[in-house]
Amino acid sequence: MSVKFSHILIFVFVIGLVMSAFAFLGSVAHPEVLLKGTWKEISWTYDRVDLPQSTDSTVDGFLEEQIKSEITKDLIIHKSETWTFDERANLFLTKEGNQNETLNWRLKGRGHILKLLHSDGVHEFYQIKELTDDKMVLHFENDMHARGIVRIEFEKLRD
Amino acid sequence: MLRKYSNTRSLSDNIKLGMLTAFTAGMVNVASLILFFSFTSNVTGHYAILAEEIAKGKWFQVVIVFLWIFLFFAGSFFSNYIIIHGSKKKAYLTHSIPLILEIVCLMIVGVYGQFFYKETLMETEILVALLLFSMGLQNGLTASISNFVVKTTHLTGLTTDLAVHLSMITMKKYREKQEIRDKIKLMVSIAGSYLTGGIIAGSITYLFQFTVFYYISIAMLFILLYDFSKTYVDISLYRRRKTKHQQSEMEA
Repeated sequence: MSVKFSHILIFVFVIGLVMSAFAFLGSVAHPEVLLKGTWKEISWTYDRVDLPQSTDSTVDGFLEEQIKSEITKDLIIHKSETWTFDERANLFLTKEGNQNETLNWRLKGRGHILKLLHSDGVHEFYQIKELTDDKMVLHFENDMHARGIVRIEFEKLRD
Repeated sequence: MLRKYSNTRSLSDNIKLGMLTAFTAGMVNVASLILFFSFTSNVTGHYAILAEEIAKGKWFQVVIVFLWIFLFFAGSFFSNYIIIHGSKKKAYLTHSIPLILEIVCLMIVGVYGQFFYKETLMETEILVALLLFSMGLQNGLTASISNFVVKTTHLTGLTTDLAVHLSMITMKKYREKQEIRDKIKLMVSIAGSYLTGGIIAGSITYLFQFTVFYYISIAMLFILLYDFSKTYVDISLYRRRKTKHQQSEMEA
């Protein structure tokens, strides 16, 4: 096999791989498409943080409170809510049938960060741990990247 | 900085190139993390994310991250391709092409982000891809022209090398070697510049948003213009002096 031919073969293989990737993207569900619809919150868990090892329970308690307050300082509590994402990037929060608030939503990164913008300028960030046709699990996102601080699980409501 | 190739480069050339490009790489990486929630010069991290997403079966994210890594690869490939196939006599021009392309990519991201960005996921993915391509171009250029001595977005390798070299200087026979001391100076300069660029971007991106990419482009333009002045201004001055010298010899 000549060198030139093998170069062409490698080039065609690489281009083919990239084109296949694009074609595959077209066939899998896009996160923005999966997100659209109405989701009902089914569980809201405040998980314990990973604490440094200490034999002093006073120190442990102090650290836990410090860490909790640092992690949750930007957290807005969403409980027993229904979230409706529409195609115009609006998010309607409903509680017990009453529409509480309208926010804007955006997906960031590789589709793994959900950004919510309140009308008063407040931003919320959630890490999308799981997103399928029926289930969505969000973790509250902050700069500390702590594991599972607030875990919100939703199920999709069918029309 | 740009025109000298491989073995003709001095420590000073490498430090200048390394510091300026690492500074811009640090700025781009932090700016993209703040604006897009994605690193654009942390390919090691992207490989880890790719593995994680494969394990979780998140195929959309798998393809996106794979394409991002591919674009970084494509940038580096393209950079070196231009350099090795370009004219050796016009080294400055050949070496400038990847930098010019990088500036174009950064300006596209800056302009689009400032005027047209609707924050859809597809826009984010394309802009991140463009930034990864630009970082690949830069890393490929600096690695290629410095004979792999300077790599400004590869901090994992740099930190490893720095640790190895610092451990070497605990032995007298290595401590006395000028090339090891020079290498340490270069690596510390690059790491410090990257960090400085990152800190500055972290401070100004919240305020300036996408216009931060204009400032990064200006920094890159500075690299081009500095080398332009050293290449063409120096050559024209040299020719004038040579002509004068020849004339005075003839008169004598």
